[in-house]
Amino acid sequence: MKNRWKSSARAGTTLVLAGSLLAACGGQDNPPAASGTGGGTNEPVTLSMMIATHNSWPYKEDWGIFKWYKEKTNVEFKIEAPPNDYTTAVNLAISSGSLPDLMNVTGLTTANKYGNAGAFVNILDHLDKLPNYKKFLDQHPEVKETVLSADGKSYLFPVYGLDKQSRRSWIYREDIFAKHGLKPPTTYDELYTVAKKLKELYPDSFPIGIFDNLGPLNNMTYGFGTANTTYYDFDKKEWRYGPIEDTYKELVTYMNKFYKEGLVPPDFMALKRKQWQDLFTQNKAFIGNDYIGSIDEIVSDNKDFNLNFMIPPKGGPSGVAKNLNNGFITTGFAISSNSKKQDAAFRFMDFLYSPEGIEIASWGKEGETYTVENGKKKFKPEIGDFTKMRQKYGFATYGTYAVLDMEGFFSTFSPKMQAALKDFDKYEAKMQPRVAYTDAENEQLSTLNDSISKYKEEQVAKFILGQRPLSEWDAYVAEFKKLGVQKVLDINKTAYERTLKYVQQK
Amino acid sequence: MPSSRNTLARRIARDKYLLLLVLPCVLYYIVFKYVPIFGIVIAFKNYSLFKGVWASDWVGLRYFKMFIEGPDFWPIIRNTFLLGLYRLVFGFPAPIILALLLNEVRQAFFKRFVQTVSYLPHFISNVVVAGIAVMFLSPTTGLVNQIIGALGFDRITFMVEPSWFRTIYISTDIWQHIGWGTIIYLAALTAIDPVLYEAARIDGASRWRQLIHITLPGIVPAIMIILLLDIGKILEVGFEKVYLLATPVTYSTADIISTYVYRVGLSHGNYSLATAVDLFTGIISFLFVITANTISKKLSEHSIW
Repeated sequence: MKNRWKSSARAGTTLVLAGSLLAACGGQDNPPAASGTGGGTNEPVTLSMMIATHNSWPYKEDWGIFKWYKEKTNVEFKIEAPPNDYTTAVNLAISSGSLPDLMNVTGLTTANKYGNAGAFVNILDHLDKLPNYKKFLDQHPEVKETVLSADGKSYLFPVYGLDKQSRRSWIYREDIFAKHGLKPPTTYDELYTVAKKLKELYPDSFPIGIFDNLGPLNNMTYGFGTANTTYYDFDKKEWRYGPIEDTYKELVTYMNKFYKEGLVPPDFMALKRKQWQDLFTQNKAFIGNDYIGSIDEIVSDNKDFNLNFMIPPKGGPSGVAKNLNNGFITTGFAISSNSKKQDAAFRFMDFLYSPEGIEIASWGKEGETYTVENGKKKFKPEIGDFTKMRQKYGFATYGTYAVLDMEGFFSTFSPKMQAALKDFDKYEAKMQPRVAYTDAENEQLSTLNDSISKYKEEQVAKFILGQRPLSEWDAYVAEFKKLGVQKVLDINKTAYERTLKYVQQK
Repeated sequence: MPSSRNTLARRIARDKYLLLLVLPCVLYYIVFKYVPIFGIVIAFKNYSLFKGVWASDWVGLRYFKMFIEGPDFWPIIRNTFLLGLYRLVFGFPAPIILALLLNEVRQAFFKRFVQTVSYLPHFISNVVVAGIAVMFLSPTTGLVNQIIGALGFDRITFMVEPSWFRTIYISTDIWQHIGWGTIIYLAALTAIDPVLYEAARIDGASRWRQLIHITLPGIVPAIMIILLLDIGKILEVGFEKVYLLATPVTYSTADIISTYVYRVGLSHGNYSLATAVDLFTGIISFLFVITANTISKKLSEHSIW
């Protein structure tokens, strides 16, 4: 689950999307707040930094973003951007002992694992040098939970703001629905009826386009009020395992029906994103489930072609119109414990959380990337769309920001995408907690979770494909007890309580 | 003693150019094959990248136990073994048969053409091979299913039927490597003395008889060596293609040691567990080779050592 999530988050950033308004980050109406950059000294310094690089906007030495940062902070960077397999590059750097001063890490688990081993600095010991970061944490208590380690330390500087663009959503072919006078389904029963009708109208089609093994269930389960893995139930205040719940069975029952009647592609498990996108342009699928950015990304020569945001259908009697909330982007920054320039690194990191730093990260430089008209910032029209901005200037990618005010980027998207993003928040489930485990817990979880998720994936797929009758559901549920689901829930409970305790203390 | 050192020095002096020639190869083995063997100690340690190999704590056989006592141990051993065994049973004879057929071809151009074409797939990456397989076998647009459909049979969803996984794996494997595998046999075939064939023809032996009594015995040493080496590779089923061809529904036949190591070990950074599993399979493979070699030595006079 975790890996899938990571890889999907990465895939998500390839989409050209908008984020949404993040009022907390300070809109353009706020007067610029005074921003110290910690310490106060502004001596010129060169830091080494290792960053991941994105295939669609690979690192370029002439990116403006680092130039603009340097103008304000006097910090220059010697950047190392390994072209692929960043995890291996990080592992190599750590095992060779020659860590850069500052580095991009892929997630909380990595940061904590190497932080505990002594590779990274505990940020909480240096909060006095980080006034802006401290303020940021106070304003966003939900972030605080996601950066702690199992012993109450913190090795990760989080990133914030871009996450909205990789949200999962339902989408549908608005033009086809309008042409046949159909209404977007609001429940799974309606989903079934409308898909049946579309199948009659287009016999070659598979109206409900899903792809990539059981990935779609990650989002669909939320419509049934459950999850495709271990999750925290905020109402009952307990950790639960989704795939053994009755609501999950309802979803599997629907999926089995969809599959049997040819309403989903028969090879949906083996389909990849590109083939899946083709289904939509070839009038072979009309309802889908992927990143919300698909509505702008999938284009067709057909001028009527119109994909739009669809409100998530409710599943079963206890269903809710909700999408999965992936939460914040997992990557962040860490400072090497061997670094001799830690103070400069802290100074730079704090700058990234200051209003001035956020302004550069989100807008660039006045005159170069944006102009101010009537007190309102506006991107210069010639700098192009979000993708071009990222390629040319290094906006909003690994290692080039900590906090983003998405409003500017937002204005570069299509009107229907902007409208969708406004609606989107209403249909988003509450973010799941991100929990820090001890090394021992991690080791236990990695083997337990592997057997559990493997059994789940295999059996759920068999139920859906009709290779195992749904009458055996109880036997399936019983098997999880043997595989140690309870232990996984217990570990999560302990770890989560521990995190909450630390959050309250600090 | 001085005299023996003398002769050694003299022999080195005499063969210095030959030794120089072999040096890169020896260095290669020492640096890339022998030195890394010491890394095996991390199978017995709780290896932390930052602490390094020596400073990590010893944990004894903990990771071996973790692997053997896990619920997936028997299924993945069985899957790996069966996949390797089927590959041996079907994949090993294939190039021999092709080589024998090619050997009977009298038209040089046709022979060369077939050889070249059959080598080519060997150079195609596994990622592409898996992609080709998925496309050909697709239940809606795949060629195979279109033929099945046109013949009036039910279409088969190959990629999600556990019972088809091994067939798909083995047949793509044969397609990939059959041509490449013939090279060594064709080389062995050229070493057979043409006089033998002449004599046989004079005695009135048919082409079939010649094949059975001259050609085959002529390449048996090559066959035996390759068979023994292949037996050692039974558990070494490559990760890439299995990973690319498997879907969750086919786990029951497609989850093998290397995919398990990837999921549980490497993707979670648990290098100790990954090493322990590899060491374990290495030892079993070693036992396979020794047993096969001993049997072969007893039954025929061919053996690796």
